[in-house]
Order: sequence, then C-alpha cells, then structure tokens
Amino acid sequence: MNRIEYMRRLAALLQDVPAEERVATMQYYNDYFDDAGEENEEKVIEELGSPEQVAAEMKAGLGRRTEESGEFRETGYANPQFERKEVPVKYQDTERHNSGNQYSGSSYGGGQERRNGASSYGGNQSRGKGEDAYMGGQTGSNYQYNGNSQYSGQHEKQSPVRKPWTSSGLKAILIFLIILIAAPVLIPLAVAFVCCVFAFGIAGFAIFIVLAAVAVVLALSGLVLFIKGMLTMAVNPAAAMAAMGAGMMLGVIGTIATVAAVRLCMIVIPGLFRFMINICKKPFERKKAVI
Amino acid sequence: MVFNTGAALLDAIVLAVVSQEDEGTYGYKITQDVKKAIEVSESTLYPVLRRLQKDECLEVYDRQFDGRNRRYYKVTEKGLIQLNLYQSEWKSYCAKINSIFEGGAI
Repeated sequence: MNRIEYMRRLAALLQDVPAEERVATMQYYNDYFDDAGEENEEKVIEELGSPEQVAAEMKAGLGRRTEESGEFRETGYANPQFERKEVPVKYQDTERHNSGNQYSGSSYGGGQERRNGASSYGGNQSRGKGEDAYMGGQTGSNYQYNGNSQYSGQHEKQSPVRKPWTSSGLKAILIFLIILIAAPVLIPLAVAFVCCVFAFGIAGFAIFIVLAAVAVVLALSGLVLFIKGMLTMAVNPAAAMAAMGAGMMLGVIGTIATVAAVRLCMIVIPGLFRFMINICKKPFERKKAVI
Repeated sequence: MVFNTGAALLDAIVLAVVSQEDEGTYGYKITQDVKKAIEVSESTLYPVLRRLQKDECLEVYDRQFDGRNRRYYKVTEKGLIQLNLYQSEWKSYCAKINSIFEGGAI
C-alpha cells in the first residue's frame, strides 16, 4: 500500500463522520506524510498502523467527546469537576457502593477540591477499560463529597427556595419593568421595522405591476403601429406593410409578455403578502413560545 | 514501558510539548517529540490533539511551508492554565509515590 492508497482507504472509512472532522483528519495525516518526507513513506504507513485502526481511533475520540460524561472528566479538566459540586444530590445514592473499590488512591481524597485532578489520574490508569475507568474517576470525586458532607446539605436547602423564584408573580413584574424601560427604544424600532417590511412589500409589488404595465404598453404600441400602417397603405404601400408587420410582431410579443407578467403577479404578489404577514407575526409567535 | 499513560498524562505531555514552541508546532513534530518520552502509537495522537483543540487548550492555524499549507498547533491561555494544573498535580503525585517507594508514610 502506498500513501495515496492509504489516504484513499482512510477517506473511505471516514465517510460516516461529520465532513468537518473528516477534512481535518485527512489534512492532519496528509501533513504527516508530507512532513515525514517521501523517503519515510513506508515507515510512516507501518507506524500509523492500518487505515482501519486510524479511523477507529479517530472515531473513538469523537465518540468520547459527544458522550459528554466519560472522557472529558477523565482528562482531568478542572472546571467541570468544580461545577459538579453544584449537583451533589445525585451522589447521595451512590454514596454507599463506592466506598473503596477501584479507586485505590483514595488516600488522596482528604477533602480538598484540588484532589479532583489527582482522582482523575487514578481513573485514567485503566483508560482502556472505558466504563470502569469512568467509574474510577467518579468514585474518586464521590469520596470527597462524603468527606465534606455539608455540601449536600447546603444544596438541598437551596433547591426548594429557588423554585418559586422563577414561577412567581415576580416574573410578571420583571417583564413589565423590562417592557417599561425598553419601550422608548422598542416602540420606534418596531414601527421602523413594520415600515421597512411594508416598504419592501410595496416596492416588490410595484416592480411586478410595472413589469405587467410595460408588457401592456408593448402590446398597445404594436396595435397602434398596425393601425397607422393600415392608414398609410394608400400613400406608401411598402412602408405601410413594414409598419403593419412590425406592429403585428410587437403586438404578439406584448400580448405574450402581458400574459406572462399577469401570471407572475398572480404567483408572486400573494406570496409577497404572505411573507410580509409572516414577518409581522413572527415576534408574537416567539413570545407565545417563551411564555 | 511498564507503566501505561492515561489520557490525562497524555494530554499533559502533548500540552507540554506544544508549549515549548512559541510559534506553535505541527503534527509530525509533536509525534516525534512525544515519542522521545513515551511509547505511543502514532494514531493515538491525532484524537488527543483534536480533543485538546475542541477543549480550547490548543488552537490551530495554517502557515505556508514548502509551497503547501501546514497546520500548526499552539497552546492557548486556557491550555497553559491546564498545563500548570497538570504539572502541579504531577508533582504532588510523584512526591507521594516517591515517599511510598522510599518507605515513608504519607
């Protein structure tokens, strides 16, 4: 297998990942080959392993990300772990069965938050095991919550207090206040918006009406030319015939254009009105959805 | 190697390798540098880089090199903070393991 075959195989294997990921992966390995140099092509292919393996690893990396819980914490990334303090209720259930299993390093769990990082190291030792490793990580952090049990107490108290806060009449008052404050700005803005919508609508309407009018005028001028030609028949037959011919052609073109323009208007103008109405409706619909 | 390298340690090593270059560095070089320290399969590093990039620990940019675009990786502010965290964790981890190895109680 040479480089081109390798890359082609890899591209085929990555068909089922998002295009953005596929492109990034292909670019990475393309760069990799370039940077290794032509002379190392075979060595690189050997070192990278089969395209199947590369694709599988890459997809595994993606999966871990989207699973959201597992690997992200295991990376020892600090912030999410600190945030987890805010939902300690869950840990109460798992409190018992975590006591000394896989997390052999629980001597670290002296109660400092910073040990979280250390605990994820503990979890990582068995990275290949996936679920187990995750449990390990969690066990580590659970251990701390048992240590400072005042956390859970605090948060349980907080949650019932918070609920009525969002659903009480306070919300209505707040909304009223917001409207009151925003009114001087919002009302002119809304008026301007409606005006704009109408202006656009009328402009569109006018364009199509003018189109139809031009077509009608074309047909009428054809008719006039034809009549003029007939009148000058006696004076100058050749010119008259030419004028009549031109008039007939103009008339036919004009008639076709008129029919087409009227048809177009019949399709476009109702659409235009519907569009305008929809735009005007939109803000109200959204409001309903929020409430 | 006797000890395996967990995801966090691998992240830390990659961050450290990338942070050594002010201008940023590229995939092949990162792989070679990481391989100096640990045995790692070449195909594991891409997912690691990608994840670090998504976590905003690394940023990428393309630069012309040899008539083609080469993708460079650079440590972000957040990445540096993360690296510092890893380093201090590693120090305390090492110190504890050492104290056990040398027979002392913690």
